[in-house]
Amino acid sequence: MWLDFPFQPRQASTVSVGWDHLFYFLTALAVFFSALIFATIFYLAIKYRRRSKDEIPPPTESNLPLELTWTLIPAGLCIVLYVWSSSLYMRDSRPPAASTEIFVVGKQWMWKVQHPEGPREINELHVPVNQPIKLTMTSEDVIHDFGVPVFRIKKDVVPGLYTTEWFEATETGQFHLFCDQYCGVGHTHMEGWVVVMTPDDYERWLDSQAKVEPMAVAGGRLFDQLGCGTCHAAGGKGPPLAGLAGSTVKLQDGTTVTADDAYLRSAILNPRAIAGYSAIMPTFQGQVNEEEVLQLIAYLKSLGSPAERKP
Amino acid sequence: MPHVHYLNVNYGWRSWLFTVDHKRIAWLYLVAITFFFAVGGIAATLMRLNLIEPQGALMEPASYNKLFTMHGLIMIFFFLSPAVPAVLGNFLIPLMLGARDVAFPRLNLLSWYVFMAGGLVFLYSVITGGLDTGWTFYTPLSTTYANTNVMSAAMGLFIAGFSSILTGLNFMVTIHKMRAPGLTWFRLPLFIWSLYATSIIFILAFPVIAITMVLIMLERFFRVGIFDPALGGDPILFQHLFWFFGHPEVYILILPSMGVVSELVAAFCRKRVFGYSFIAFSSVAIATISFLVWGHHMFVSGQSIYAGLVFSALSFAVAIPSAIKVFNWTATLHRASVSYDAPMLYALGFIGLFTMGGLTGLFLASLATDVHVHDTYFVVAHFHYIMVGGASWVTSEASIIGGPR
Repeated sequence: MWLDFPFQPRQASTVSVGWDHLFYFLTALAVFFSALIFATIFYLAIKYRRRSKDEIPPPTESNLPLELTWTLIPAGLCIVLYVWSSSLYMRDSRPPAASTEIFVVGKQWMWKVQHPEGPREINELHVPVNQPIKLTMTSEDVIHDFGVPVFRIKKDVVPGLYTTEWFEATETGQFHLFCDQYCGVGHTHMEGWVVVMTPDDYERWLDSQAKVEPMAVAGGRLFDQLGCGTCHAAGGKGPPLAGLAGSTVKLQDGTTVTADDAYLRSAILNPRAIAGYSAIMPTFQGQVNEEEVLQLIAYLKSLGSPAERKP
Repeated sequence: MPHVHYLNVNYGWRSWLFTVDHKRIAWLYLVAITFFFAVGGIAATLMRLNLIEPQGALMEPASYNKLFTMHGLIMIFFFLSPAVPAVLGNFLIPLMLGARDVAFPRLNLLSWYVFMAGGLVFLYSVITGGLDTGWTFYTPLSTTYANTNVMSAAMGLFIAGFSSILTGLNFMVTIHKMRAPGLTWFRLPLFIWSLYATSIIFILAFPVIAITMVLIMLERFFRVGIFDPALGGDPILFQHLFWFFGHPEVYILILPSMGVVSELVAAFCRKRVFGYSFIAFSSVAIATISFLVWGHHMFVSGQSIYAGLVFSALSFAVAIPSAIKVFNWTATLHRASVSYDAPMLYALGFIGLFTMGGLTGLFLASLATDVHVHDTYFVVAHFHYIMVGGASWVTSEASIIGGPR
């Protein structure tokens, strides 16, 4: 029974094993140094206990080599820990290029998940196993946090900006996801399930969902509804949008930025903040919610790759 | 005891409430923080009782959320922050320096009144419904979405903060200018060194929380857009401002107790602490580096991964001086005359529990493991080992048994 005791959650992602190794090393280090200090204190406090009332011990002598030793050894250990931990963190911070993107909108007190193919979920995230998944997330109200312990991932979900995290599940099954940033009375119950399926099951699941249009199609519908084409058509006041998503945009002051998801969201909700264009475009803040912004961005991405962009 | 001493030289409530004697002011603070400790402790008890059952044995989540917020704020701001500095520091600094009193005795009394004013405003916010934002006040939950007493709680903290700033100022001037002739820096008791380092943090960190509370109040009451993105603000800005105060604050909570432990170990070993200058420099090093690590509370907040690398490195660095202190205290026992009086047992307990709590801090400084344990009970355990097993124990013991001899 004790061997089954879960010191850590299941290792269900590609990064879980490596991160657990670091965790166990830190645990061993902590146990070792705690035991060392405890044992030393017990030993010294007993060996040098006061034996007579008027006992005066010899005066304190300094010992520089000892001081340096117990400064440099912990410093060295800290450097080892820092390098190990940072390299894991950096290596795992960028999602692989071939990741499937899934979009998450958090709100008090539920998770809304949107697959690019169209299906939408509440408090559940269905994914295929052995496939890197990149989550692009934002919040409609307060700061939440999308955490899946078995994947060893966690990232705040912040209103007003996109945060991303990625994982590649290595086992099928149902795994808990939690809201990990206190967000009000419903925080405790703001949990759900990540359902990892075999690729075939996942395809079957996608097909079985209610027939909703893919995100890019929904975005196209919104694009027409909101009249974006009025300005962003050929010869209009706005720049052409084909190939914009992911391309490099030149700003008024000569610097360049990449038109990533955050840029595109900003362009829709706060266009005056995009330097490099006259302040003509009206803001659509209040006319589109976060999920609709994500659909518009998906539509923009479907308008061709940056390579095809005409200047 | 002399025939006439500070307790019986004057009688009557006026002689206490209008005193400028640092020893009487220390007593005034002791009564105040004991009261707040009781309130915070009741909150903790109710929380623990509620957690007997997973669904909550005693109360709705709304009430529980208020309890943990109140527990955190009261224990940090109204118990542990002032405890060793305002009680033991006020009492002992002039005595240890050979001064008649602190540099600004009337400012000292004002500090106590400001503390009480802030405490009363905060109690008002507790009694009239409480606060449920969590002690960290994250926005936009606290400025827009919370419907509890954010304004009065923030006002209470804003006021009480000035008490700490003024006390820190008082101590720094006292230590710089009022040492007895011949009492050079490296002859000062280590308790003075740790309170000096703490005073640096008081003066530099508390203004930041004060202005942050003002910004919270401005946004909440006047809807000025600072932190809420719906008003054009940045929620992460709040986190930077809060933790720029919040991290040095936790070193305010531990450094004075470390000073007490240095004195206790020396007294009950009947010898000078091993590595005096290392401990003195470590205190100042901890205070300095503590201002550079606030981002380790924000590794998963969406801040840049490169910022994470810098903060992680500095967070490991701040652990080293604490480790140096632990080793030096332990080495003091070597060839000493160790008595097993209660204060010594508390001091040895501090060293053990602080070591365990501090080692769990390495998990949090380390980027990869922090992602997994961030916002979990691992962090709660880390700081309670240090704040209870470390600071609170020593604070209570030193206050009750009478402080370092």
